[in-house]
Amino acid sequence: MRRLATIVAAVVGAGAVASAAAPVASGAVRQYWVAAVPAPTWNMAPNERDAMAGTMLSPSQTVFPTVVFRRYTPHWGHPIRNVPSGSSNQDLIPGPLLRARAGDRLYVHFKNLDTLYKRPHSMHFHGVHYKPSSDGAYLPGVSGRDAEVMPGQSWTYKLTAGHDSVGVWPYHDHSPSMEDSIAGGMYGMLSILGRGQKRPDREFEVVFAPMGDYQTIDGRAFVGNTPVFTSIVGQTIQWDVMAMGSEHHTFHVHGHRWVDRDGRDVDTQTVGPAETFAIRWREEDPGTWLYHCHVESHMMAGMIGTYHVTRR
Amino acid sequence: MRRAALAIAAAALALGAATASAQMAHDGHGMDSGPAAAVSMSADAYAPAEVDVLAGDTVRWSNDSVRAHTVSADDGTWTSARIVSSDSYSHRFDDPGSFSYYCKLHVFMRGVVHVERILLDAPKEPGAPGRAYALHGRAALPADSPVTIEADAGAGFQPVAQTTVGADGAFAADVVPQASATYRAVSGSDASAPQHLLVLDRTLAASGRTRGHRVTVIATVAPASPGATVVLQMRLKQRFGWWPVARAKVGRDSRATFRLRLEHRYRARAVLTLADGATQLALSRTVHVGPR
Repeated sequence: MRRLATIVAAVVGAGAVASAAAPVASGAVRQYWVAAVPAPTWNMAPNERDAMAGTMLSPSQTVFPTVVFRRYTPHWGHPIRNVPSGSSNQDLIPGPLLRARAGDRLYVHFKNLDTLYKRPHSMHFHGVHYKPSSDGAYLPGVSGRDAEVMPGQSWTYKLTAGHDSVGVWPYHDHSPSMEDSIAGGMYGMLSILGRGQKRPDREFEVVFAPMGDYQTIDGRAFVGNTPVFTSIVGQTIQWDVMAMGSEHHTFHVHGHRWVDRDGRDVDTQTVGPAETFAIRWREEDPGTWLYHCHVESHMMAGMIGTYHVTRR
Repeated sequence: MRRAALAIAAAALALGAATASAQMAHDGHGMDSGPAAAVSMSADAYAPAEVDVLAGDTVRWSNDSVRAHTVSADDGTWTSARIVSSDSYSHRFDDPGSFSYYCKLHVFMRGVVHVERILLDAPKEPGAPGRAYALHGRAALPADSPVTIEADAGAGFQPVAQTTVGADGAFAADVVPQASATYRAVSGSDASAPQHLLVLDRTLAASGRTRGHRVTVIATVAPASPGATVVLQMRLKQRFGWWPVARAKVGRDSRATFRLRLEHRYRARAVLTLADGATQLALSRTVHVGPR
């Protein structure tokens, strides 16, 4: 087994170099239609087990009602997957993966369809340029409708991906319901490529966040329930890693290494609340690998999954 | 090569599960985050006439008739003003007890609010013998207060489960009923109103048909249970066990039909569940589906 994966691009992470560059606006216009919708029976562990510990779990521990971000066809015609079929990403949590390139304008049309709790919601984006009316962050007496989209109402967030926006970034509910919403999985990621930068063959989303009594990846806990990521030898794969909540996590993939922001070879990288990083490599190591948070208590509480690499 | 194909098939299955989830999300199982109880006022009655709430809860009365009404305590300690059509009135109850009220404009209209320190939710669906069933409730008690679930199957209440009150006042406990019984939640000297859990012994049959890569699985519930939830599971090595790939409601013919496209052959089974799609009530035998 070769120990070192070929590094195609090191850290594509957010904010590696501070920049005050003005946004460029000569790219494409990308429109996304998103809604806050109920997921009344979200199950953190559909196989009802912690397979590594050999313990069974009860639906009374793992199933709960929540509200999530869901992608729609234009004008909220009908719901569609948050991520492309076959991407091996988890659907519903996180929210839609919003892709763009530096220079693009993004119009994110958001509608509040929360018939479960009937709470206000919003979308607040990191890493991109926007006016205050697209901030989506509630501030009593100051913020506007963008920050408190009431049930049945909608708002369009107008964003620009600048040259300093390349990388992956969080978005999340920042309305008065923010605390409950984030605890229930109302977060997602922007993935912004530089101009001319090639898109990876596989892009995996990993969001570390506590949920109920468990520590989850993409709203799921324990191997088999967390996303089962897949790739084929020779493919370029990218991991988009993010943390939500109030804890730090350490992202670790077995059998692989990458280069961090400081130019060091690492196989474990720390990510704090609302921080993100993206790492890439060209896959050369077939097998079944674990990926997990290496904070031991988090891993034992569910923050672990499997990554399958097959030969061509 | 085989594993790559398996991965593709697994992705297709995940899509099926997501579709089922989306449909479920738009069924509109609404839950009001406002008052703990809502009472409708018709032309001549409160509905429901009796409600159980927790100390500290608010009850809202909505006038759904064309006549004006009031909501007025029998003991005169609180009353609404005149409530016209489409208007509403809310009152918070902080102390345990039973509080009778009436309409001053139509004195034959009467109702009662029962205020408790601990409440056990009424089970919404039947359970199954020998299978875990989660009972939920709320308590106006400090977090971590112990709660005992007691069952009475005809010989008096006996403890069957223990739990504690959460920080939000909610609690839940799994019970394993063998037959229909009455349950209550007890904490110290406080006991909830009893709730009845119906237990039905239902069976689930499944048959699978494969034509090329197209697979149809038909699950039949007996006795007939239209509206019940059936989940199709497949045994997936990558998922470390049985994995839900689709969910459906049982039709009037007591059947649920699943159609899938599979790249390989799998073990599959149907599971009759509560509306949560997870709590098992009955299992079918295992069938083998997909191309050989």
